[in-house]
Amino acid sequence: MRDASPAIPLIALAGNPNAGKTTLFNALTGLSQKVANYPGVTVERKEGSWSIGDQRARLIDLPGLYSLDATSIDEHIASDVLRGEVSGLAKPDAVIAVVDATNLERNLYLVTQLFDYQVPVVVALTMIDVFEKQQHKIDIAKLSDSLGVPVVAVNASEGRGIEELSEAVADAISKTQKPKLELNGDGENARIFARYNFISNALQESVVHNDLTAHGISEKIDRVLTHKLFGLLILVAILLVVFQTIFTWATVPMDLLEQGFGAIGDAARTALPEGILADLIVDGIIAGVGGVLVFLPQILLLFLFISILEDTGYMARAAFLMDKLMSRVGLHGKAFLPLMSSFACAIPGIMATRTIENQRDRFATIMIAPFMSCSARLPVYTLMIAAFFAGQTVLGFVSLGAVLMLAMYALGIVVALIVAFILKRTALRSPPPPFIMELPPYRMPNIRTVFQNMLTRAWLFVKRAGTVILAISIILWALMYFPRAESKSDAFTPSNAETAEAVTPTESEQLRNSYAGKLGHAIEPVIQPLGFDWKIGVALIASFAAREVLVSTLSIIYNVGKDETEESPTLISAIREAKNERGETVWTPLTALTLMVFFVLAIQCMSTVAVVRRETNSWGWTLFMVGYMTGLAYFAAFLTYQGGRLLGFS
Amino acid sequence: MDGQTIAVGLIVLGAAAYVGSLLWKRARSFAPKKKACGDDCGCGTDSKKVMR
Repeated sequence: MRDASPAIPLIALAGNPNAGKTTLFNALTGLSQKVANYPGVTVERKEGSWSIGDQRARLIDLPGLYSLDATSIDEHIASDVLRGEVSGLAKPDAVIAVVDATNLERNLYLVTQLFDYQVPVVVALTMIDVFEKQQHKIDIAKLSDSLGVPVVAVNASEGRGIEELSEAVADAISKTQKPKLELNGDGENARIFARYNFISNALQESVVHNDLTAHGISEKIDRVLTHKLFGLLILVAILLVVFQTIFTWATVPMDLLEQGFGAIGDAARTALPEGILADLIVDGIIAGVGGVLVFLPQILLLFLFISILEDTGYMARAAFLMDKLMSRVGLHGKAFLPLMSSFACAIPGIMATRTIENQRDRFATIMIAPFMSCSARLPVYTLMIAAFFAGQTVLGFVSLGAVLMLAMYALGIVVALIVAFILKRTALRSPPPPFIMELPPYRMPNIRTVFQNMLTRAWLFVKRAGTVILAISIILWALMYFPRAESKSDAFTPSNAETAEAVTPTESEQLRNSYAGKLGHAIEPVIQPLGFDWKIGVALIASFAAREVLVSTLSIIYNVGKDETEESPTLISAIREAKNERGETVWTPLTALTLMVFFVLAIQCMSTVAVVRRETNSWGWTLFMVGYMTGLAYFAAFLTYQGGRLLGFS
Repeated sequence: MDGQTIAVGLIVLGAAAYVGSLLWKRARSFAPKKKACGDDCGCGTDSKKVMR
């Protein structure tokens, strides 16, 4: 279909993702842009006006792509645009191939495919400043000669090369171009080989790298770090060190925060007149929000280490190791990134599955993403470990807490792989497509990036505590506080309920007869086989709103020290000493382990359910996920508790 | 009803309203993505940024 204004040349901008295409597009078009979608799909189409020489041209930004093999929707569209088969767009008069100078081999592969479309190509070499900073050398004239198309070095943010690019495009439109690529041989593999051979020859003639030694070292390190046995052992060792360090370093600030919130609670109790308002502020707000905020040091340290591992390039090696495992169960290589993101939060992880072209592969990834232990589970694991496993070691030097933490992360991954294996052989059967992973060179982490990542996550955690957790804590307090006993002498507050020493039958009755108490008792028969009492049941129900709410709910339930002369004990000691109506200890190390196992496998997140419904567009798959994850969590928790008891653990 | 009870009632109601609004937003987000582009259609393009 012809364009409405054929006299104006149409220039397409193509390139790999993150090659600097958008920056260049913005520099060339300025404010004269418009955004729409390609017909029938939700792939964004950006257009703008650009001056080349003395004439105006239409510049169209193609989706970021690695190749034109037409396997994904982006590649289909780009291919259609280049052939002139998109409604409302003529075949382009020229293509600007945006090529990242720091990654020439991969970027030039797309350029060699652009040659197939019989459209003049001009290569815009971006990231040239970074390339030069790394002290590599490039002979642009020689590269242009080897490729057979014009090459212009540009730096869009400084305006370097923009004029030359404009001249090169104007010149290319008016001439016939003959790229030097010759594709001999039959079959797709032979053509791919020929393309890479062509690129290799072109680069050998025009580029001198100064980091051959560094590359050699990187390769030697990779031989060990990506080894199928040693690589996995090193990954486990690194994670153990990370978790052990988190527990060791976080203990002091966590204790300080806990004491701080205790002191604030005591001060508020003293300053406020006795009554319902003081109870709400001390037992609901300070205990609920403070109970979650004390885990901030762990969150900060976890994301500090994740950012360092990412920035050094190690995370890509971990991805490579996991990709081998994932491909064995039939998962697409592109599933790794969504699953990795799910360790921070399942929601962006599930949304990131949009990059997976095959719907069955995509659904399989969505179905297992919530098994990755997200940061909201961290306060639950840490509370249980701090209360029952702190100070214990394995082999005399490895902290039991670190081992348990690693075990919880590993349990989520193993169960996810098993579920994916089953799904990919039954309801979501499809062959996994090939996937190429790029391993970036090792480098020193950038302190600014690392701290920025860490502070962003920390801020999200604090913001959540100050909004959602605060509101839920207030509601939970009310559900535990009301209805009130009629006689004032029978007054109850949850802060003095059922603890080792401060329990009185009246207080106990008050909590039992509260709305939350009635709900907890209603579900108690179901959770009793897991070793959970009705109070844990209340916390489990509340934590469906957000996983960390389990901690704030327990904090409100067990917040003791109601006696005004006494100081509030910590949540950890309250949990350790909690007794049921029969005077038996509620929590044991086995109960704590069972709760951790339940939390690894249970969906327990309303927002995740919402995003799964939205992304799958299916109630069936959403309900299936809620059902199988809850069932699996219950079954695994049952096995842990009853199995532990059979083995003699209490 | 004393002042403290009224204050607590307002705080609890405020919290319930906030959580309710979040639930409402979640419930709305249960709706699937629309296929076509238009004002606030929920697709990848922000129609407010379109320059005509």
